[in-house]
Amino acid sequence: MLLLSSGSHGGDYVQFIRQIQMPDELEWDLSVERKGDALSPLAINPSGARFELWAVDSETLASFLLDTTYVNSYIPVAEVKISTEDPYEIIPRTRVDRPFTVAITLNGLTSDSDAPEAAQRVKLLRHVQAYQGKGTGKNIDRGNATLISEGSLSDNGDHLLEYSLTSIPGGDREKVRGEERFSVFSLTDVNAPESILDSNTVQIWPMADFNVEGISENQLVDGPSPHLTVELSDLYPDSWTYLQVYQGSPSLGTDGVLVPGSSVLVDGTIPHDERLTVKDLDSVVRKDGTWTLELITVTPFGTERLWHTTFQVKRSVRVNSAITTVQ
Amino acid sequence: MILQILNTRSSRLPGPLFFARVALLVTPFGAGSAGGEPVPETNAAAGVTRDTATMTEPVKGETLANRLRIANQNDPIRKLGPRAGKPEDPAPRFARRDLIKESAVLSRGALMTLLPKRALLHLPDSLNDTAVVKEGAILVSWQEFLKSNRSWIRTVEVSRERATGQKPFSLEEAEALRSSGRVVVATFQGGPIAVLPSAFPESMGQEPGKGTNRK
Repeated sequence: MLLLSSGSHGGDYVQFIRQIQMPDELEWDLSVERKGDALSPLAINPSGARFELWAVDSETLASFLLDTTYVNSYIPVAEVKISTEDPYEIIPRTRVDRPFTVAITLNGLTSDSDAPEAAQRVKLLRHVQAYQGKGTGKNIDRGNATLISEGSLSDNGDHLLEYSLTSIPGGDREKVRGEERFSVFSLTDVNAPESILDSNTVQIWPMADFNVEGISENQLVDGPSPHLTVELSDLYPDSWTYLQVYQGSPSLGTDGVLVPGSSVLVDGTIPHDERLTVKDLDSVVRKDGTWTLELITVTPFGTERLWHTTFQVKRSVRVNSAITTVQ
Repeated sequence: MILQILNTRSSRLPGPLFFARVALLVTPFGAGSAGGEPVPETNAAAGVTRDTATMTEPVKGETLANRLRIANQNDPIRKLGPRAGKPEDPAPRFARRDLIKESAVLSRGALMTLLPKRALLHLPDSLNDTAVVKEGAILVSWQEFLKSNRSWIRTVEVSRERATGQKPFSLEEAEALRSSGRVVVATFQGGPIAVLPSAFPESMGQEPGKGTNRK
């Protein structure tokens, strides 16, 4: 058996690889180098063994079963990968309105009808679980996830499942947040119960929303520009949001001028809320005429205009008078 | 890459655990034709590239609800083979697991570590307080913990046959372990390993690893 493993201690997490021998469930923690591969020296019983990769938060002690593989003489090997438009590498993630793809690779299934059923077929489960309120998935009981569909696979090779968007429950579809988990399980065998062969989870984050105060549609600006208050909610974990302004009527796709003090950059793992006060509109709005102000967000899914408004600037003063001189 | 077993694994780490790092960029005043700086095509700090040519407006909730209805009717899993195996959902059994609860703990000073419960062969009364989770202690790997705590931990390397009880401890060996003034941990190739009760003489039984109650 080949093991490729990363460090046993990585930043805020400590990783443990535990080998569990069936049928006694004898447990052994493998000593692992930070990187590299090694042959597991603990020979596997005919009943098989389960390998588990855990990550434990070194401070909160929250533990996460990152990966598990059950190995025995005829149980198939499965791999579940989820890909999204977000290139984030730590965990698959996307937004509530975006598609994702589940790729399942199976090896070791047999078409021999005399073989145990566990060698001929695996079961595939799809679970969904909503995060309540502003939840981030921390400390939720994943045993409460809802099984929404299941099927079975009996062919080796790659199986692609395309999803146009998440099915996590929630009334306000723009604000749904949670996770979907796809798992491959072996069937019950003489020596082992149904065991998880592999699973993967995609996190789903809501769409951003906002509230802009301080300016109204077609407002006349004949003096200093108004101060704006911008409340942003659920900015995507990898996003850049800003106000831009340009002369003329609204036109989607226009390159404007960045409004000073309005740029919010989020580079994290959960959505972010922000409240901005913009006082420098004057520095970018100097000429009279029609102007358009837009709220833009840039995410891995593209550039989107969240909001726009138009206002009129008329600061020039015409003075009707005559100048005479007297000698 | 975190773990690869038989070339089947993909990398992954738990996601919802960090707080967002947020940068608020206060852009300088400019003096362009409109009085400021055009929005750059790339935000270098974020590595974000902006594509205004394909700028869109967000999809509305009503549209999403309609899309969801269609998607639920066409879940590709349902086009695979029929349900197989037992009717009950096996996932909660795995999803509810907690490595801390399933492990023994050793803790001293600012550090603590985890090991399989049955790997803790002996815990002297004088060291009872080392087998509980202490608030504020930082979890480290077994190897790192052992390095700085060798003075009170004795490791006993065991074979696979011994761990499974095929070649049990003799009464003398077992008594020697139990009379140690140090914590005794069974290891295999340096990693802590559980030792099944059948590895001990019947008259002795096995002292199980202590729980993980927080202190």
